[in-house]
Amino acid sequence: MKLINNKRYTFFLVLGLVNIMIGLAEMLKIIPYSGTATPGVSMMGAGIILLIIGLYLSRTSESESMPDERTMKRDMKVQSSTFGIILAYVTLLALMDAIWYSNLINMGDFFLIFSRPEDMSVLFSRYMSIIFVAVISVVALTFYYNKKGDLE
Amino acid sequence: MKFRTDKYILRPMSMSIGMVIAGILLSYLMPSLFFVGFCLIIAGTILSVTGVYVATKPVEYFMPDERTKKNTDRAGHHAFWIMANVVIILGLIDRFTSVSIEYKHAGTLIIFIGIYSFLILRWFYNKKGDVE
Repeated sequence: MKLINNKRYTFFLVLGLVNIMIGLAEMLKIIPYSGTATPGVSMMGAGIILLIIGLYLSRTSESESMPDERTMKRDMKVQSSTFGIILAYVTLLALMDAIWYSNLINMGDFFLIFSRPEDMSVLFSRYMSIIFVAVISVVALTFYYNKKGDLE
Repeated sequence: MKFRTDKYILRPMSMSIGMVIAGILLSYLMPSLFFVGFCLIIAGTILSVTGVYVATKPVEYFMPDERTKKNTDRAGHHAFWIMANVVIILGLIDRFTSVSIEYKHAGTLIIFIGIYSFLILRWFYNKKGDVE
């Protein structure tokens, strides 16, 4: 197996290994933990994903893995637009919370993410919903700008 | 002083005046929603003042050049990552530690960090000069 001397993949490999080790230490109770949910499995999962990315990058040539001018421009435009979307979404959530706690409008439990925090599913908390919206926006906008072609 | 009266001025101005009127009506007719009405009045007033300012300038005045666009995109890109990291860290603390950070307290912090990081980064890149 030929590995290319590239700092990017070394970083991913080291980060993945550290994540897996911390996850294992937490699961084997080496690190004391007092929270409600165990982060060990999540950390190990993240570590494995990082390891796979690192190994993939190590097998591709530097010219292939490095983004070109157009990709960089597109990514910046996409993330800049996503910033606006996220800011609007965070503001909307904050306003919804303000209205909820002031008891002006009873919104019921129709919208899961807008309902009271204590009733909320842990998997789909407000924080996770923000990340979810960010990921979906980045994917959709990347697809759109790729299709659109010429970037200004 | 000459005021522009094209559709890009008239539409937002009519919307802002509509917001003010809706806010006044809401505050009078539904006193329980006074907060919402008050916010509508304030937002409408700010939009009207901005509209009057914009109407006094020619269209070319607000057209961003290539460098400004690049700077804004670059600042937005970095501000996005800063904000995403803040949200992820807060979410992880809330989920995996005994400290509970409720969104109603953290929301304002996230908004402030996002807006100010964007403004500071844009100022920084404008100062810095050549942007790749």
